[in-house]
Amino acid sequence: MNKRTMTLNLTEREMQVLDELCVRKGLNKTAVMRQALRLYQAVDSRLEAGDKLVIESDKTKEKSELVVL
Amino acid sequence: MSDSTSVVYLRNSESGALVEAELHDSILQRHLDDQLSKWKPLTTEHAEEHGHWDWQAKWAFFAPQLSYQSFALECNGRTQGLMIVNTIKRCRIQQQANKHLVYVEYLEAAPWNRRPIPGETQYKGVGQVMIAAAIQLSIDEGNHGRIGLHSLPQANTFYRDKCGMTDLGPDASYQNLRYFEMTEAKATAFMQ
Repeated sequence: MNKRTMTLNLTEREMQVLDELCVRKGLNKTAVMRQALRLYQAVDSRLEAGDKLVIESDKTKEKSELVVL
Repeated sequence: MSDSTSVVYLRNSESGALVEAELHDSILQRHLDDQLSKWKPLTTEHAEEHGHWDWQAKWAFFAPQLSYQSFALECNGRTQGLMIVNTIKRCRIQQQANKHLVYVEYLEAAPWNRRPIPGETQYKGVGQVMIAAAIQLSIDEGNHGRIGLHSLPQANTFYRDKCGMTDLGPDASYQNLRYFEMTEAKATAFMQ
């Protein structure tokens, strides 16, 4: 699979969150950003199709809609 | 759609000889055409569990989405196996819970590789090659070989006994199909 390179400018806080996610998920920065892009596209395509993104609590089974702009 | 290929090996059932095959990291139109014209009539005829799978429709849905990647296996000028995987799902086994894995959405071997069909060369190893491809993708993605899937009943033994995946039992949220997951250690063992 061909790959292309880009430079990404992040704030200090964004970089800190990226670092934290890398540690928590055991992934490098590229892998986390690629996952984020895939997830963004997956969610966006469902919302564009008129679906809602709902989060369900595993304990209470309470559902709440996640508002995504 | 970009496509690159790797050389892999299947075993000719009749002669026992290893034969070169090509693993494509994307399903191409000719693979879908093969499935429709050569697989489908045989699958439908035998009323197999996955006989209703429409690979053309699946591919039309999955191809534009970054979360999914596909593989096709060719040998002797024929499509021998197809697979679609999802790269944004997470693990369920306690020791690796919530870590990312490669989830096998669909995996199918050509009908002549599942049972002898007169006039068709049968190859063994399609399932193993495809599972190895999913594990390798998982490694490339930084997921250390972790993969997961829901198995059709006919394939439970293959995933549990031949692949060494952990059987987490029937999943009520997924048509009661059994969910299997591979740990990093089992993935390493499978690839050796």
